[in-house]
Amino acid sequence: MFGYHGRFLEVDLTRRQTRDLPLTEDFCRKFVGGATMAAALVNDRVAPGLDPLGPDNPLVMATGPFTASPLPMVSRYAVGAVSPLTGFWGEATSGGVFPFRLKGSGWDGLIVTGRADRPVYLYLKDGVAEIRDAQAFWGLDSYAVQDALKADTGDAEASVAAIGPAGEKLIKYACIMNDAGRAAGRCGLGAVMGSKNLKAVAASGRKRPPSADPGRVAELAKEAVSLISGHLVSLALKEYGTNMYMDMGMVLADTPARYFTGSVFPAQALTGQAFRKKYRITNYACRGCPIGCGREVNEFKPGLKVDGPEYETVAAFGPLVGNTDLDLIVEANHRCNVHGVDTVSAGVSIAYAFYLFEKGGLTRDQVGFDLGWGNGPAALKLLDLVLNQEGIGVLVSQGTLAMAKALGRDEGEAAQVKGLEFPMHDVRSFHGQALSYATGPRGACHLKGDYYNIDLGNMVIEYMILPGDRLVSEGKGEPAAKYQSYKDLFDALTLCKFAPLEPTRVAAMLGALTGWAVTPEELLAMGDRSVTLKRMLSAKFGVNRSLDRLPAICARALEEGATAGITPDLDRMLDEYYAYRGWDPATGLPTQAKLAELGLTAGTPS
Amino acid sequence: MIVAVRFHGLLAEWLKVERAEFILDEPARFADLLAAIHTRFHGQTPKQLWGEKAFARQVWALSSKGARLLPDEALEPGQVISFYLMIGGG
Ligand code: SF4
Repeated sequence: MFGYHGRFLEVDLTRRQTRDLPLTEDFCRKFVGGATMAAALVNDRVAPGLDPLGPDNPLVMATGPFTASPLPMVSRYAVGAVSPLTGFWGEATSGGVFPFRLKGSGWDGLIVTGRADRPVYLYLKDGVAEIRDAQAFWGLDSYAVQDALKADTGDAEASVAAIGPAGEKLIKYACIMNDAGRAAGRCGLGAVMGSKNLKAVAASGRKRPPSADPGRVAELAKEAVSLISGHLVSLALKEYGTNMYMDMGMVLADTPARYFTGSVFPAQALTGQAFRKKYRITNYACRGCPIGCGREVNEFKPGLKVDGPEYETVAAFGPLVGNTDLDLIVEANHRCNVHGVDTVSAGVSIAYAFYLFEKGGLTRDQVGFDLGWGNGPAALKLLDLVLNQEGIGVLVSQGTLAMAKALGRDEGEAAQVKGLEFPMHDVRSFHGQALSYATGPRGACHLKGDYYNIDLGNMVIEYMILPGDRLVSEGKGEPAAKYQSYKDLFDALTLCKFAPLEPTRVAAMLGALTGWAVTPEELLAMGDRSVTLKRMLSAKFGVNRSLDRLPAICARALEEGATAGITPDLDRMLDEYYAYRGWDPATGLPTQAKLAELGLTAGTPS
Repeated sequence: MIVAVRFHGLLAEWLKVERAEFILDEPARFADLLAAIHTRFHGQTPKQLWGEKAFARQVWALSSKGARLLPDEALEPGQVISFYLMIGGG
């Protein structure tokens, strides 16, 4: 087989055993890799009633056929399991060097079950896997542990994906960090690692599967580098990182303010340009990326270099809590990274506490100090309570839905879909985005797909996904569904979401690597299959149409800004969405006919 | 007639100018202003900012009331038009 090693590593931590799990070519073509293959593997191993933090929850780390190939922007991997935050399918992806090393270790990925009786880490190198003792590393923060394990392996080329103290404490939105500040951020998969007493995975090695047509792969790689390097978005990402969007987001009322109750906010001090003027910045890139959207802040404090915050983090710890202090946001980002928590869920949960405080739903007695819009230091103090699991921080670390339930509040106040907190794109500003959030395979997600980008003027002409009026809901259902499928596939291949590559080119890349004759139509069908597979998996845990909804706090019309008086018509878009997907509009679940068409009927071996 | 433009954010940084004025023959449409901007500034990098006699499609123009301007729209003397580069990535 080309493009794949054709095997996963299966690790049973309870029995301290490892074995190879062979993959057939049919399985690879059907489930591609990355998050989709992870979902297929998890789907076969879970049943309703599973405890996400119990030993039976399988944790998968998966690369794809693109990973570690000569193509640009492909050093990414996906993590999947049943999420402790949402209770259904959870996935997250990250870039860096770790994905390249993971594939280089000689497996396409690994699936971890059971629970070790004491802390361990996995060391994978050139086809040899070891379960090693990690007692001495338990408690280390997510940066320190990466350095410590590199030293422990004595392997200068090893790259480490690890949990920080938050994962050990089973914080519901704990993440997995790799290559210093890169994060598989969402869905609390760091807590799943922690529940298994698995501190880290260190990967190394130079085993790479052959490509079907290496000459064509090299040609496609060269073309892609030139296309990516010359793209306007790439230029902006290179100069300002993802936070380039802050000033645009404010103009469009896409950046939410004051816990989704406003859209007008003086964010001039928080823009990508302001960030670059204020700090001495160094760019960093995932392996093989010509952009390098990551940024490090040198001398943030004397002798301290920290990872710079992404747009999502700046917005969540900025306008969402009414804060304009950029230093404070960089500090919050750093603390989240050190402990290993998702900055989106953390920021939104803290902003909810601020909202509750303003409404009298939380008191000074409960919190221990005053919250209130613009009180940045209080946001940082509350973050510390979350990270240290103290006082009200214990509740805030459960996410907004659990907070609303525990405090007897209307659940429509919780800014989440199916338990996953809203990202920093306001659904009143881009109606297609509203549908993406409501139906996202892991809950509210701006990356599957980033439909706001379509209505900003980008497009996927081959699939007729064309820009429209961002404030109109009619007609968005089908293109948003197609775009969700296309972007979902990026996490299977694996390909960075910022790669401006059209389906014909992506299909050609997959074909050159694997030897399969893949058309753009088959590519879209792969994405459709992926989204439907994840839906089936989540249906085991109760996901259906009744949960494809938006919380009132995020959807009700605002009284200010560019979206004043506007709200998306979700039901209309949902009907169009289910019709495209071949899902029953009454239940929101795939029909038997659709499952058969996608090769996903019960009993189909995966 | 004189029309004023304001460039915001990334666009201002890349064009190295925040405000500019243009004298246009009356009656003028928005497309005429775009052509005038192209003539004066299109030497500025990056070249990806530019389309055929206009900005690339990612550059949006908004009137003072926040509405997006289209090429056929008539301009009024003294009007102030804001331009933004609208690209997402985070
Ligand atoms: S654009 Fe950023 S996230 Fe994507 S591959 Fe490049 S450095 Fe990594």
